[in-house]
Amino acid sequence: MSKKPEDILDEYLALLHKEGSFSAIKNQLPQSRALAEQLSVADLAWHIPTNKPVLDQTAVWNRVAQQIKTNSPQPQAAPLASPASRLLSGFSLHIPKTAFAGIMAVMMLWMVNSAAVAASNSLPGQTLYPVKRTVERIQLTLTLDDVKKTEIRIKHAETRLNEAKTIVDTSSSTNEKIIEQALNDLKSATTQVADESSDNTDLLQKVVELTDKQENLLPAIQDKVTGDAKKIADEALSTAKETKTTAEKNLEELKNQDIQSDDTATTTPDSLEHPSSTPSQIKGGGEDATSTDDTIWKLGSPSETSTGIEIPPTEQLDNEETTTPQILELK
Amino acid sequence: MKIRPAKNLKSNAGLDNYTDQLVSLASAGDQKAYESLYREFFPKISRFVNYRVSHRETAEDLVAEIFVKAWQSLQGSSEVSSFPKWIFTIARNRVIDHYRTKRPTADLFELENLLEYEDNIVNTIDLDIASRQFLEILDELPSDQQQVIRLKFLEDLANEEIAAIIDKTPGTIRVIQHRAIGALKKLLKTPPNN
Repeated sequence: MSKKPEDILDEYLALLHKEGSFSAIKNQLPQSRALAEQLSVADLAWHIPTNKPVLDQTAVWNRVAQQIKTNSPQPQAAPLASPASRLLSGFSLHIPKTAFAGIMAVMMLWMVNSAAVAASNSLPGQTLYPVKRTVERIQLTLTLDDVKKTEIRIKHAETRLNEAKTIVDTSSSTNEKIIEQALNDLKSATTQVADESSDNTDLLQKVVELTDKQENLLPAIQDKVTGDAKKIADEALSTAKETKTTAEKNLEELKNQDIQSDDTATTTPDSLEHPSSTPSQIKGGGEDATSTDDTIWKLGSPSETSTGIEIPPTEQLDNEETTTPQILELK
Repeated sequence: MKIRPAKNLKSNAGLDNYTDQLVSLASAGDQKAYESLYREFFPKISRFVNYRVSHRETAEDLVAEIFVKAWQSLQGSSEVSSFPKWIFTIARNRVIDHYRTKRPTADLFELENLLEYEDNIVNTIDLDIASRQFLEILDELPSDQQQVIRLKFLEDLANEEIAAIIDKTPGTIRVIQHRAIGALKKLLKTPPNN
C-alpha cells in the first residue's frame, strides 16, 4: 500500500527539521521534483527571522513554582482518595470501604468497652467517673423488667456506699465536696430502692442487707469527716436506719400474709369434703347450677357456705321440680 | 535546549519517552520533574503566547498561569495520554479567555479566529526579499492553511500541538499542510502582477 502524498511530505519535513537545512537532505530525497520544491518552500518558511523578544524563562518559572507551592493541592489529599487511603497514606495497603467501616466499628466498640472497664473502678472526682455513671444509666435504660431494674439500683447504691468509704479512707479533707456528693447519692439511691421494694420479699431482703451494711460503714465515715460532710453522713445513716426499719416491717407483713394465704390454701379442700354435699349435689343447687369445679373452689370453707348460699338437699330439689307445673296450672 | 534531568527519574518500559516519564513523576507531585517539563515546553508555549499577546508582561502572566493550571490539573489526573496536546489546549483556551476579557462582546468563533498574530511581522522585522515575499503571499491562502503554516514553520510546533490549538486531528493537519505548501509553491513561482 503506497503512502499518501501528505504523509510522504510530512516525513521529509521531519527530516528537514532535524537536519536544519534543505542542502543537508538534498541527497537523501527521492527523484521527485515536486517534493524537492515543497521542501525548499518549507526550508524558506523555517528560516524566516522573527524579532519578538523572548520571555524571561527563569522569572516565569519562579512565579509558577511559588504558585505551585502555595496553591496546588497535595497529591495525597486528592479529593477522590478513600477514607482508608487517606488514613493509611503512609502504607501501601488498599482496604475496601466496607472492610474499613467494619474495622472502625470494631475499634470503636473495643475503645468504648475498654473505657467502661477502666472506669468501673473509678471514684468520684476522677476523670473516668462520669463514664462509670453513664454506663450505669445505660444499664438501667436497657433493663425493662422493674424488679431487675430495682435490683440494679440496689447494686448501684451499694457501689455508692463503697465509693464513699474508699474516698474517706484514702482522700484528704480537700475532697469534702466529693464525699458530700457521694453520700448524697447514697442517700437518694437508698430512698429510691426502698420505695420500689415495698411489696417484693426478695427486694426487701436486699434492701435490708444494703441498709445493714450502711449501718456498719457509715459510722466509720462519720468519724473521719467534718462540717457539712459529717452532717450529710448523719442524715445518710438516719435514712439507712429508717429504711431498714420500714423494710423489715414490710417484710414481716408480707411474710404474715404469705402464712395466712398458705393456711387458706390448705383448708379449702376440706370444705369440699362436706359429708352431705358432694360435688354433684352442689351442682344441683342454686342459680349456678351449671357451675364447674372453679365455682366449687369459690365456695370456700363450710362456714362461708352456711352464711352465703344455702344448698338445699337433693330430695328438696326434686320436690320443687315436681311442684312447679302445679303452680303453673293454678295460674 | 538541554533538559536538566529530574531526580529519581528511572527508565520505565511502560512509558514511551522522556516526556512521559516526566509527566508521570509530576503527576505524583514531583516538582523537579515538572520543572524539567517546564524547561522543555516553555520555548514553544511562550512563543505561542508572545506572538498573540503583544504586551510582554501580560504574556508572561499568561504563560505562568498556563503552567500553574497544567500542574494543578496533573495532580488530579491519573493518566495524560499526550502532554504536548494537553498543555497546548490549556494555552489556547487561556489566550481565548484573555481575548474575551479584552473584548467581552465578541463571540467565540470570532475570538478563535483572533488566534493570529497581533503584530504584522512583515512590517516590524527587517526581512530579506524572499522572506518578505513569502509572508505576503501567505496572506492569500485560506485561513486554516495560514494558521497551520504559521504554527508549523514560524512557531516551530509539531503536528500534534497544532492539532490541539486549532482543534483538528494530526491527520487533518498533514493534509492542510500539504495543500498549503503546494499553494505556496505555485504562488512563489508566479511572478507578481505589478
